[in-house]
Amino acid sequence: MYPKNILDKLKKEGIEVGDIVKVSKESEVYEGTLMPRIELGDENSLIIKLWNGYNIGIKFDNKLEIKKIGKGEKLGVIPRLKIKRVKKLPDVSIIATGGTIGTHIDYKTGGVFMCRSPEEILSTTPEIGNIIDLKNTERPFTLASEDLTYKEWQKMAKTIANELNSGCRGVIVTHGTDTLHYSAAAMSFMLRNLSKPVAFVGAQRSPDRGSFDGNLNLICASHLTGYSDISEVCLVMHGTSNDDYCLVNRGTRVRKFHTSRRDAFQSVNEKPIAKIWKNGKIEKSGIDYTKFEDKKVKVDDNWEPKVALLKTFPNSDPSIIDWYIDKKYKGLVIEGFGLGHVPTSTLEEKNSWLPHIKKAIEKGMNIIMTSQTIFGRVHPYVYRNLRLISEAGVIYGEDMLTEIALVKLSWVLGHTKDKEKIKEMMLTPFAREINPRTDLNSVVRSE
Amino acid sequence: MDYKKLGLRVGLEIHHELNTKEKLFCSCPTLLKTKEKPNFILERYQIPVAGETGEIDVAALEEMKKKKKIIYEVYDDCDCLVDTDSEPPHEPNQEALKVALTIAQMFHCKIVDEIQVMRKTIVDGSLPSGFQRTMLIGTNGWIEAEQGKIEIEAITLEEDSGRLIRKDKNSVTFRLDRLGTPEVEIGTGKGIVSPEHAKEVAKSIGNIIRSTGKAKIREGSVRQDVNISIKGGDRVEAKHVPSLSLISTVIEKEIKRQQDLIKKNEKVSRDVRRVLPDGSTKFLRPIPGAARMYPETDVIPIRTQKFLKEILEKPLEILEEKIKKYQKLGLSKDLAKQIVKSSYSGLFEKFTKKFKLDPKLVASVFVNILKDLKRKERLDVSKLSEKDFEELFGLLSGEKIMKESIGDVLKSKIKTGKFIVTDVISENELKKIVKDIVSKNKDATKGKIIGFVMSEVRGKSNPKDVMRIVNEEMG
Repeated sequence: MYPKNILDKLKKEGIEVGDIVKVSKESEVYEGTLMPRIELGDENSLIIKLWNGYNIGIKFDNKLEIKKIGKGEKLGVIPRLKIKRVKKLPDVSIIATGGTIGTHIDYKTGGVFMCRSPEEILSTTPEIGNIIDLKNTERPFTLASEDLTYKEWQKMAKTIANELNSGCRGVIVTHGTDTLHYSAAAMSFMLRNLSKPVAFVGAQRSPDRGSFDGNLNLICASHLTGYSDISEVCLVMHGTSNDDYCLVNRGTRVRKFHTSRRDAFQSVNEKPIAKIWKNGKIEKSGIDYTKFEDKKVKVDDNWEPKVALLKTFPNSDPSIIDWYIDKKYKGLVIEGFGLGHVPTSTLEEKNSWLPHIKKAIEKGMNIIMTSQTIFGRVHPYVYRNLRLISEAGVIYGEDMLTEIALVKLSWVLGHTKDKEKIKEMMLTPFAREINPRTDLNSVVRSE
Repeated sequence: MDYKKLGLRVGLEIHHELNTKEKLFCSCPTLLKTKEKPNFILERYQIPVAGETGEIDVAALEEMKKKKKIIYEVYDDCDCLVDTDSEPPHEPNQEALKVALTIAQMFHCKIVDEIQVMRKTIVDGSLPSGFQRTMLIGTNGWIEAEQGKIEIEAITLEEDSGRLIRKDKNSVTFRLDRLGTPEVEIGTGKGIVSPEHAKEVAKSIGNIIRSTGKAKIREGSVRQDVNISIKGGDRVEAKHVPSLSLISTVIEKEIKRQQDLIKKNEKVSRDVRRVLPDGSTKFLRPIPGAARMYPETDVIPIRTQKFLKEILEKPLEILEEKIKKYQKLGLSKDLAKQIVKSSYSGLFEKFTKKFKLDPKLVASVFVNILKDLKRKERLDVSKLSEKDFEELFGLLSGEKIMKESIGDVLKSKIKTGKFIVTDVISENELKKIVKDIVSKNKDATKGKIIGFVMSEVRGKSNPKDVMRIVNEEMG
């Protein structure tokens, strides 16, 4: 919005945003469409779209004159794709939750705007109409992925289950990329007896541009959900910086590794389940996966929200744990060093995490150890310091990713308060999030 | 021909790359292909997109029908993730903004208060993002030309696109070295009265840009588009007129083409047309509508006030001051004038600072030697890049070549792409040659002997050394 002095002037002249105006200032005259003010620019500038398409800011002052000379076209209308159902194609539903893949330019704030319906998303990828029969499109909420909470996950799980249980062969979820892997993990635990494909897709480049990467991701997700027997929660995103194939990553084994590249998502500690091309070709890596069956899925979305994540670092102050004890937290994931170390036998006692961890466990907190190395498996016994921490009752989370351990701990604590049961559940794979064998090829790609 | 009666309207768009240290939206240097093979090959596809008003652009739809694989050649020393559309743009390059604002002032433009970077949808694949970032710097300017004032409608600053390398039925290949280099675009309004006049105006616009010393000099650093219409016809854009001299021919041929269509009662369509070597044109695509421009939201708007203040305090030098400065370096007024008016004044300054060479010699390379290569040898001297000159002056200052052979060395560079350097003759070898020639021409005068020796060692030895040794040998 423009500031009051400008709005007053516009009101006086009977001008609305979108009108064609003539702005005179000293000897200069500009004609064009009055645009909404950009959030980041000079508050006192009028934004005019000139006849040649360029937007410019004109500094507003008392000498400036503005007159309406015409009514402009409506701004910001997004083309909607009419969905034509092709009966012979497999039924798939799309659930749109927000994120870059479902954004367009917001002329009000100058930023990206998240208000696109699934039909609008389809306008960027009409190709999928020839791959699947879009049975239903749902929009349970529209949020940037950084703004999601477990309450949205619960809603997401119910929406997905509802679609799958009413005859869909698979479901595509469009989602922001930042926490895509957290949501995929949450769905992996909440959707019990899942035996149909659920593909999470996002985009690293917005759909307003020709280079929109979500196009390939959506096409590949359509092939996966419509035809493949890979029946798990998967994350389908670019495999390389090219628009050639997508990786089908297991929802509990994947992580975002780059702020902006198309191929930001990589599986950790196991190979991706498959590569998938836009013509539908699938190349499976050979790792195990759940096969397709026409069974009902059950939502189990019990949840303990008082769970937190801590990361160790040199010179860290362990008394932060006491704060979580005071706040009555039930679970804590510590992302330690290397094999699962925290500062333990320090020269000054105040730096040791051990007494604080002991106190937390005595107070009933459940602590899981993962590693900030990202790749590899933690180990409770190799060094003395590891033994001290594990003897204190910390559960060593095997080859689980930190983010997955965090999601899983909340889910497990939503089911039981029994210490032994919690440990047993945390170390039992529910969605292939733990593998006792570490694949020889599961290392960082260095392309 | 009475062009007024024809209702001829001509608008020029002159694009000129700027010689800034870094690209417009990242910190990569503005180099061209630095090695034989690209470090990476990217393969992408582009989708048609909706514009700000919600319609899919006609140009985009045309292109959508022929969805091609787009191949990018990427070089690790002059491309980064911003160039491959894998990272958002950085802040606009301050040097480029300052130069563009100075140029806008030289064209008497009204500078915009607040610049908004825009995304101009480009559908040919030449930019991996699918759009070109561009910003309007100034409007409503003018220049004085021979047949009256010419309006300058707009001056914009934009990122250059990738270079087209190959095109076939299924794919199109672009090289990304040039991508992101800042370029200014000068668009003329009313005032051009004839095809010949258009050529003159294009020439003066180029001269003004180059007089800043910040214009890039290399193959393809200047591009001219010409908009042409006559009464009863419609606007047609002739894209990439390859040389100044062809501008008038292109306009004349387009007038003829539109006249023929009108005579046959056919409609002239608003097209972008490709210019062929003989100045005729071929359909390329329809002229895109205004819907293809929308704000670049990753870059915040730029207030120009601060820059204008800086420019006032430390302006770029313009013509007269430069001529005086070059005279102080020992150049004659005539030579100083010629170098300032040439495209090479920026390079002249750079290399006189960098190398311990006589400024007169450096200037005469750019003025006299290039002129000879162009006129007498009919060579395309625009193929010589900044890097080539840097190598040449490096060889000269290291005494690896003699100044007498500069013309030959540049000639071989243009023709073969390589510097062919024959070794400088050592003192002992020279003595041997002199002895040999003296013994074979026992009756010859000293003057004649010097002549014989010189023709034998031209370009490989210094005349002073030749005279000294002949004197020693003949007493």
